[in-house]
Amino acid sequence: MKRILFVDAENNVLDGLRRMLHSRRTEWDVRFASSAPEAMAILAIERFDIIVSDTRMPGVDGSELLCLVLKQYPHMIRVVLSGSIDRRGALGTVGLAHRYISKPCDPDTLLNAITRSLELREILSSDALRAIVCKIESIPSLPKLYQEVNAKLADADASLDEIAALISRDPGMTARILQLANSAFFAHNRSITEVNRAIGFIGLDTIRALVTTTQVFSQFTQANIDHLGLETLFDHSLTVGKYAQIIARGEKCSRGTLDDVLVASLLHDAGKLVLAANLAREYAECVLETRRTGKPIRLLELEAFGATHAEVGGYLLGIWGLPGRIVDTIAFHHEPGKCVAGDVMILTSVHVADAFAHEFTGSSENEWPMLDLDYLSAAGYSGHIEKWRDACLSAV
Amino acid sequence: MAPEAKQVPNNRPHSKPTILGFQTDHTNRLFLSAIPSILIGIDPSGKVTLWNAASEAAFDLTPEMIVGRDLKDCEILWAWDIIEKGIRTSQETGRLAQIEDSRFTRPDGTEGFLGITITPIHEEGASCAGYLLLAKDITERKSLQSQIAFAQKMESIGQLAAGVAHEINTPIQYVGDNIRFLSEAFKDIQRLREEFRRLLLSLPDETVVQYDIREHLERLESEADLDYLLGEIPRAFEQSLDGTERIAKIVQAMKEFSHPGGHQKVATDINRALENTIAVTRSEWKYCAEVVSDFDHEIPLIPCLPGDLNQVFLNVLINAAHAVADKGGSFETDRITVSTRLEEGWVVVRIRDTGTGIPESARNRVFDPFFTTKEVGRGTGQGLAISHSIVVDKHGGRIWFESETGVGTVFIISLPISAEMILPAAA
Repeated sequence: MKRILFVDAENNVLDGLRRMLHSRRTEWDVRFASSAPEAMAILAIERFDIIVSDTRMPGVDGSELLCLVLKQYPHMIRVVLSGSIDRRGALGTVGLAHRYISKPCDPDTLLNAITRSLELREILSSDALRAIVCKIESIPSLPKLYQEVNAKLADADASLDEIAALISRDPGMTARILQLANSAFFAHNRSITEVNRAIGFIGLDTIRALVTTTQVFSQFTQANIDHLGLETLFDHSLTVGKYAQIIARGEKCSRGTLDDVLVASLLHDAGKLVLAANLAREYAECVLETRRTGKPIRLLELEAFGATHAEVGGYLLGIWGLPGRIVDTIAFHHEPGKCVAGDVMILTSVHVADAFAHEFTGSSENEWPMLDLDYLSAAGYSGHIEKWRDACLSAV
Repeated sequence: MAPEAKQVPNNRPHSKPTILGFQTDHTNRLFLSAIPSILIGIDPSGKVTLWNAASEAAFDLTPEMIVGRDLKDCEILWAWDIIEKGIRTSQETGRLAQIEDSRFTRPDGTEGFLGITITPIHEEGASCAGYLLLAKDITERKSLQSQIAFAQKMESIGQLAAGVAHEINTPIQYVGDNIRFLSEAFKDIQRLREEFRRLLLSLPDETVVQYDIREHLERLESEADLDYLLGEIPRAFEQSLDGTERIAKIVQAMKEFSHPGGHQKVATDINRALENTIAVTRSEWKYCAEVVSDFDHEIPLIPCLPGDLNQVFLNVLINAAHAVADKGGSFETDRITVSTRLEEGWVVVRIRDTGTGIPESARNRVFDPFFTTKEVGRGTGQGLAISHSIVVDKHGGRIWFESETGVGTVFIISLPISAEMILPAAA
């Protein structure tokens, strides 16, 4: 049974949650604490999967509690359920909390967030890897872009469009912005995947404040970049974005789907960045091994970590609350056939574009078949592949 | 601190009354025309003896058209009744009189405000030789002031809205959860009842209930967790009602607090105003201090502008909460005491906190506009300046504080209980 710990200073809130969750009693084992010390005492003796905590509490407050949980129980998914209405304060828990939900919330919003977080565990089966991913506060960026964005943010005259254009070239910053904009702090029903709109939603002022007070963005060291060949990885993500959009446009997709395709492309290899930043030594070995033997890196990752960068990226962005269709695309971009729910068009175009990008650059991975032909034929796209290849080739 | 009510400069007249009349020598004449303010001289009977260049420009009337005539008969588009009153005051007191905001119409038809100082002129040894009216177009300053006052009001409203939203979030959360539970519990009980009914109908008429049916019923009950439901339902109702009551209370307090601020003073219950302010700021203090009210319930209603006065209480109370929060206060150890007393015809409100205290270096500047010790975004530095103006200028009251670093601060606001007591400065 999955175990969830709720923390709130107000007993009436805990009682309400307890009753509301009664209907889930056969699936979830829920416990309640009315203060941070009480929560820590419970955590010290029992293992939990998720913590849902308020932010403002007397004594040790919610963000301090989540910080302790992050350090001591990194495998747990951390959700904030806050009554605070101060936007900057609320978003200040970013990095500490995977999901942010505002009070009052409809019971279904909370239930869905919990259900979804638990489902995501299926993507990444390794406990150890999950603990590493849960601990991540940000996905590092290329230093050059990171500094450019910071400089633009510091420049009061810089426009939202300029900043959005820079951020949308970087997976880490894009993922962060989408996490913020899709947190339930902002009352909107549609999930946002367009960076420009996401920034508009959050507000440049808020982003500026967050950049100075919290670790919303971070950067790789140049040594890391050179050693792991990360520069190519960033270029690859942009190339995949270009091809995937060509494919999706050829299939007459809506504007909204095109935005999704672009973001999913940019983020499809985010898992590599996560591994590079957090398991640098092991990941470096995988990279070197690929260079030496030409074996696809995903197979080496599987051997080294028990999962590939696809699952790692999917899991992280999933617990960050990015839209499911993006998360599924990231998690299954090598093996679209295994994806049960995802959006076929987004998944297909990113999968195919990724394969083309490797194929065109003659990267070592093309020795192994990259395209999942069974999937493409089942989806009815067998006859489109050559047309797509030609269109993408002409854009090289 | 409170500026003293209009101090009277010692107007020792110049030895020669040269500036009045036509005998003014050339240099003086040049000086006068260089003064950018409107300068009008009148003799004791009210006849204009001086009309400088600025006056000419401001009203588009030449000295030839004005000098020698009775000021009240001149075609100047201004509020003569107010100016006449000012002259009379000056005449009666023998002192300088000030008019803060007298409307006038410019030659181009636009309206503005004049700030006027009326000074009696004394000839040596003799009685009054006339009056000097020094006036300036203060429209821009006034509009700036009202913009600042408005901005502070918006800041207060923002704080108010934040506090209220925070207070309402929590009960709505648990009322919603309880209602979800109740509706699911109702469905469970309904299903249970249908099952019972079905079993009942299936029983042959005369039978005693058979053992396996009893077992079946017991199983159904336990599946539905009936004991739990029956135990929790009444509490869910009770807490939901408690929640809606909390919401109703805060909405009521907010309604009274945000009393549409008219320009007319109304008899106001200061205790109630303070109670409402305490209620709407709860989210600011609830985790850092206990708020204790110590009201004198015998204090009379006093004439005031409730909206403005609430703003003062809000500013002071929020400052108190911040002072306590800054030293890491808690509900158990820290306290904000709000008291009212009737003291010699004044209602005295004291808001005392056990916070950080005001640093020595800041004490003289607390009421200065734009002075703030808070970080950017936590205040514009207008709160106490505006509060001072509301208490002193609009209500003829006083506001001051006593503070000790590390021990706390008490703000004292005293308000006259009747209009007659209001200081003349409050005109």
